[in-house]
Amino acid sequence: MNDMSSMDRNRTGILFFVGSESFFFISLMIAFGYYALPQSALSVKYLEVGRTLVFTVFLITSSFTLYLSEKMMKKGNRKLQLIFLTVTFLFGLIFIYGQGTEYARLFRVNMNISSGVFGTTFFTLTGFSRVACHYRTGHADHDRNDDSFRLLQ
Amino acid sequence: MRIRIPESHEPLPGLKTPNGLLQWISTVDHKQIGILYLWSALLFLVIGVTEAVLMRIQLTLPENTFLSPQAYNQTFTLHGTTMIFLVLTPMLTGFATYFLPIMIGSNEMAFPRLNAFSFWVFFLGGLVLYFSLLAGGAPNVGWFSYAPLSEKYYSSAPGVDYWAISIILMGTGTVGGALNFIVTTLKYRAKGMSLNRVPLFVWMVFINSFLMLAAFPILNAAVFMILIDRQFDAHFFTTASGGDALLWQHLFWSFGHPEVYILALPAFGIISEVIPVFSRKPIFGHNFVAASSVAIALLSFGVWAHHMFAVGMSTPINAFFAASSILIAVPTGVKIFNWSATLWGGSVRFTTSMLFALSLLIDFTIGGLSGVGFGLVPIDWRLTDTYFVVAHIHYVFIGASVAGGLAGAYYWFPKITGRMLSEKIGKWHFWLFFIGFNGTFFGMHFMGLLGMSRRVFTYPDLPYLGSLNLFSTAFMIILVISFILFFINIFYSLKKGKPAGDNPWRAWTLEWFTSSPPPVKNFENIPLVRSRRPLWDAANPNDPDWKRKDE
Repeated sequence: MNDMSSMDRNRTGILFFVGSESFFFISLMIAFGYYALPQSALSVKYLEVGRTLVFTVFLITSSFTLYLSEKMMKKGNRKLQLIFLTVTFLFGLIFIYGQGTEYARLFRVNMNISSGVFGTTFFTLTGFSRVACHYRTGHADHDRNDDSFRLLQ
Repeated sequence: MRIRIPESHEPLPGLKTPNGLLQWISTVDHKQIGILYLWSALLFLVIGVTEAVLMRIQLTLPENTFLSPQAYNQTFTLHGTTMIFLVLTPMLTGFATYFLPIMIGSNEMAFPRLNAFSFWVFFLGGLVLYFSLLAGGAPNVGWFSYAPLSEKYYSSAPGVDYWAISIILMGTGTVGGALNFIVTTLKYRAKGMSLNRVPLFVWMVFINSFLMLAAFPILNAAVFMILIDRQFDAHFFTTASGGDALLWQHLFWSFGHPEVYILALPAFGIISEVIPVFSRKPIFGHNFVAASSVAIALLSFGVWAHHMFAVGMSTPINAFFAASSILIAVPTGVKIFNWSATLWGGSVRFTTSMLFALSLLIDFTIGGLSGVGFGLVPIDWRLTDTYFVVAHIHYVFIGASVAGGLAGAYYWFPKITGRMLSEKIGKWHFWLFFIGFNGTFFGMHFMGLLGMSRRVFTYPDLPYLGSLNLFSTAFMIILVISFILFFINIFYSLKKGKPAGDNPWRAWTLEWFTSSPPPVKNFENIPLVRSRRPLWDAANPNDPDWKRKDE
């Protein structure tokens, strides 16, 4: 009777979950937009856009290498699959390093979550993005055959 | 012809059966989880009603000293939070968890472990909320916890933090449940049951789940912000440091308004099942009822600022939200019309379940009318934060959600337990409920018009306020007795209720095809679904629904 594949329902479930979480992040972004954008002088002063861009490229590329890794797995090419997986991890680590040093630098100049509305919204938004769900959810979405996926059931 | 209904030969797992308790704690079976939700709702109902009783005792006389202001503030905060998140939500979620899979012909929900997780994390939320009483005081800032009152500066006790954490936990449970309902409805329908043919209860729960998925994350964001403000000295809502207290209201009500429809839609779904069965007629305008639910869901995201008419937004903004709020009355009115038209020309059977469904038509209409009144901005300016609001919210919450839930209880108790609830006690329950509820809350319209403030521990001894409040408390006693009768009915009928059989109401949807109670595996086989009323088709092969042209 219920003879559809479990992949099907898992994928649908994750899709709706990500959609739901997008409302969470949109709310945080609204707060950020409301508070921080009018204070663009602060962001120019404290946030090094160029440096952040470099690390962002690493992050986005890691998503692509993960996709390649999955493609290799489907092709049965275990060696390339593992290589791409390792590269993904490496790029992720590089990004985290960049984020960590950026946070450290900001804390040293006393820019933190309690230093005015800009700090509040910046750290809340980036904090939730990085630490909480995006990574796990995104990776779980790609690793469809992964055991972590069955946590949903 | 009378057929002897055999007793089920395996006892249901109870507290006394071997491993019974472990079985219940570790279950992933949707029927048991549904029952857990329903029992939790009843437990928290007792607590929520107690809080209401305490408040009404305090308000019976002007300038009463039964509760201190501090105690009163905690009581109404707990009362609101409990009734909404710990009574109405699990009651409706419980019926949905139990019946949505069965009504679409499925044996389980899509994600059984997520189902169990959703229940237990919701229950943990309730425990965390009430733990606050032992940990420095319950939250005392109202169930909607407005900034800046909820900020550390004005509320240094940890009650608000406990409130915030419990909201996050309960919200997580709700989102998990919503995910489950959506995927189950999309992927687990029986053969022949297109989305067009699902019972209206299933449809309403399905649409409702989208509402939950969209609204609860907004609440989560707001609640995380207040937690971060309080714990990490952030500045989301502290005006002195550049924050904006109004942002809290916008975010909260962006959740809060869809939330009230989240609590209403499943109840509407229940009576969309009950009214046709006890009128012996299919529902009038099935497609309109289904479509109006979608309209309500979409519109509900565009009305939130009608909770904020008094904060000083500009006239164009006020006007926009006034218009959208009045507009949303239209699809709701469509439903009332359709339910009434279903009764017309039907062979109406006044069972207790039907009586509660009919009371919804009356009481929810009253609540809806007072709500539309609030949509007119100058009226809102006069009546906001008065007892007129309290009257409105209780007429819609109790008039729709509770009445719908009770209609569902009397309708589905036979299916869940295999025994009928006593109709005799049920009739007493209903009439005491109807008289008690209307007596308690109708007078609050006048209290509000006379200017009595809500969420304040007492009121001045102005003409009529004292007598209106005394009247209200007197009728509340009747309402409480009706709840006691409900509990008596449940416990009596569990032991000694009449055996129900598969389909005591001669209803038409798939849950009545299986036994009462259903076996662990809901169905071994089911009829091919060719219309919205598969059991009618099976029982009337000469006049099945799918041969009729008008649907």
